[in-house]
Amino acid sequence: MLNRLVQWARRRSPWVLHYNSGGCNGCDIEILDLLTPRYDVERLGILKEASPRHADILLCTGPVTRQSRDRLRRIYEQMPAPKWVVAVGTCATSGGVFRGSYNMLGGIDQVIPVDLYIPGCPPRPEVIIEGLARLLATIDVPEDKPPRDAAEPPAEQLKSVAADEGEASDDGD
Amino acid sequence: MLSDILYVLIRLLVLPGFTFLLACALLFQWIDRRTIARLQARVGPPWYQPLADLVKLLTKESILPAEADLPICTALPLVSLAAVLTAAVYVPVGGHTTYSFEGDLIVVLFLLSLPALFYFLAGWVSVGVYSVVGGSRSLLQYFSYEVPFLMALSAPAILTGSWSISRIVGQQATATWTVFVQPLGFLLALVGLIGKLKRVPFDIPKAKSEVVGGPLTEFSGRKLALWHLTVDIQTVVGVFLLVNMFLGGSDLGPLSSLPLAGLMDALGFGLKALVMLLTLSVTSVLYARLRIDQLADLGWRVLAPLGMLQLAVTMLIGAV
Amino acid sequence: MTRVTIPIGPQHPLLKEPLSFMLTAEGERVVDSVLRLGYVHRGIERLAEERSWVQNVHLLERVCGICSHIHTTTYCQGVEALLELEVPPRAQMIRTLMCELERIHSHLLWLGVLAENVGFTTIFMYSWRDREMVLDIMEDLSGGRIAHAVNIIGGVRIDPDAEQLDSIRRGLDKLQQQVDTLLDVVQHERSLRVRTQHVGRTTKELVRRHCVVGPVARAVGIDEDIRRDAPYAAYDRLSFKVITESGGDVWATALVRVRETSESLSLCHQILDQLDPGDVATRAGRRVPAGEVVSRAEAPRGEVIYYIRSAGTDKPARLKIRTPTLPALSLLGEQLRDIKLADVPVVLSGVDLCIACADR
Repeated sequence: MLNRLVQWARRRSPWVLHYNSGGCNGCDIEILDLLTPRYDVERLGILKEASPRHADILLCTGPVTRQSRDRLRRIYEQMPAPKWVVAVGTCATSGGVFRGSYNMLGGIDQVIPVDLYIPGCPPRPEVIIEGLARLLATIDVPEDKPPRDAAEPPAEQLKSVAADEGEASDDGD
Repeated sequence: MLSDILYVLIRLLVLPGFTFLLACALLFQWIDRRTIARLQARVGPPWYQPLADLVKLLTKESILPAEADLPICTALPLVSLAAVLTAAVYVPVGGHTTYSFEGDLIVVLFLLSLPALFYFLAGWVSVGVYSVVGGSRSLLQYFSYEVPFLMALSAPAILTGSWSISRIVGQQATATWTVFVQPLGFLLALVGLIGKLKRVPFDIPKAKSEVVGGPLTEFSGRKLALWHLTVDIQTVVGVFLLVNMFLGGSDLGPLSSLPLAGLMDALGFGLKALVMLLTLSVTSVLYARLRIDQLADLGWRVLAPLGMLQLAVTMLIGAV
Repeated sequence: MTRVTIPIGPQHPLLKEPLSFMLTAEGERVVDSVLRLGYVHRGIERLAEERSWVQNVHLLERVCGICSHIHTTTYCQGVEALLELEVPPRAQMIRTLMCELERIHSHLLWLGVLAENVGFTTIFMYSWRDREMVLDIMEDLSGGRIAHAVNIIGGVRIDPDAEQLDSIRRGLDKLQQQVDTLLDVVQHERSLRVRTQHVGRTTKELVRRHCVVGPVARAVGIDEDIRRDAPYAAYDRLSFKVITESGGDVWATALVRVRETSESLSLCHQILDQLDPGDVATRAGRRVPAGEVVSRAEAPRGEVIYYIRSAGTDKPARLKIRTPTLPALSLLGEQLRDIKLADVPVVLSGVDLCIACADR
């Protein structure tokens, strides 16, 4: 019962934090556009937060540049669990048109684990909303565990997971 | 004996106590956000949004920087919440008072100003740069609005000759609403309340583009939820207080003599509270945020002298 | 008084893009600032040397998401000059139309960001709502809201029909009313003026010393606009005023930008009325003869310069981009000294940084 309530609340109150790790502004202005009258994501309970500590979902845009990498990881670690990462745009998904540059690490998943990819250059606000809605629909709080334990593993573990994933996809390239 | 205790418990925890306040806080937050959204050509959140936000924050991980003082950081939001909840006990709602004594106005004013100090402390002990800057801003702001606010709220008390909120309310039912006698005082109190609640244009301590989240930047999860709840309940208590002090409480003039007095009381009080709340919402849509020095100027050069003027006039009339 | 270091960025609600300021503050007064760039450095100039002339149009559109069209325009103009291509007049007109639509979009966006930074959310909402109308027009024309992919070497990719032109006219008329309202708001709204007047004030000397261009320069009364001074595309066939102000503060730049929006709307109408019939592109070869060229254009933020050198192959030998944000950053170093902390967002908005452009 309590878990159902928590699940309900988490699906309806996703506060997002936006970080641009090296993108061109295109996706960023489309994300900002989500807040404005035509799209108004406050309808879905989405608020754009300023501090990583207040956020549930990290909206990442742009490919990851070498200089942005540590900051991206740090912002992710500053967010309290449970948290989700959404890669918005083709660059954030794969590095996009900048793939192969000397200063590029590639997509967001090279640094932190990503829960949802929204491709597009830039994706339309409708698509971003649809993506977020799909992500929210997957948020579960299992019945048999109290909500606190159902949260994601602590940050240290995640860091190693991120490193593993990064290496794995490096091999794949 | 037992029924007495039960009665007290119900009053404290259900009506007009905690549960009622919580419901009001969530409802007020929704009305506020919805109104602002509508005025900005948006749709705004659904009615259950404040509840979802609260439940979500309560069940999130709560982390703090390693250098932060954990026990104090945990205690501060609790104490602030307790302060505003206690203040609520002495504020009459719809003609009913849980507890009342001569001088409860002073207690309420004191309790309502406590969260501002705790807010400052929260910034100070959670050590982030933005927290500290936001904290010192909130303290500066506190000195700018608090004095006019106190003066504005003292005037009705002096007029009535009593420091009990319920007596001031009662007095207005026989004479006329204070707002008609002291329109200036009412405006000052309103401005003071906006400052207290840190709403636009006085949202200086938590200005996103300058200090990120202000003193609450480093707070998360349960602690953040309690801080948000404190502000929401502070809004409710502040609005109720102003309705009581200036708008005659639940008094509806000639309509009060209609049958079903209790219902009319609740209706009248609710209506006035709604009007006050909408005033707050509309104000926050209309202005840009002030700078802290501009606020200090406004507070000390305009609001404080006006407050003194109001007090002086009230005292003179009382003497004559 | 003790000094605190306040970091702004790389993740900060004030910034839409990552850059980092370390502000040294005494209380609420900022005494010094150190700027760190490079978070968005994607190595575009190097990438451009590895890709063909045609592929580069696609790449350079992604230098910046706000002024994407001006980058491809400047690039294509340069390459066309090297190729000695005659671009059809209709193509020139359509290019110019997109440039002006983009300026409207960029300026409305800027006004919203300024309002948001001074805590005036309502104006942010309204100006971004009106911006949607321009985005609609651009989407109707090109199929993309932000990345339009309109330019190709030798012309443009799109050929609007009469029906589209009519719907654009209707959209522009509606927008004109909104822009007039916004101008009225910027001119008369008290609390916005209190926050922006006398803030971030620059002088002609300062602007000259740092080579600042665009609306910031025009706000101190420097009457410069590449569209008029070195006409490109179809600007020599259109008439427009170059808007200047004398205040030099953020409020003056706001006035310049909103008035320019109005001027751009009138330019769009002229273009729609004078749009020549005919082709929209000429064929361009894959190889570009050896040589070098400098191509200039007036982006929403000021003059953009492309230096392009060809070695006679199917790839550029060198491509250098200079964007208006570079001098603005250098000016910012002077502006962020001895001001109030609360004015930092306003000053930052005033110069309208585009880090994606500057870092490339």
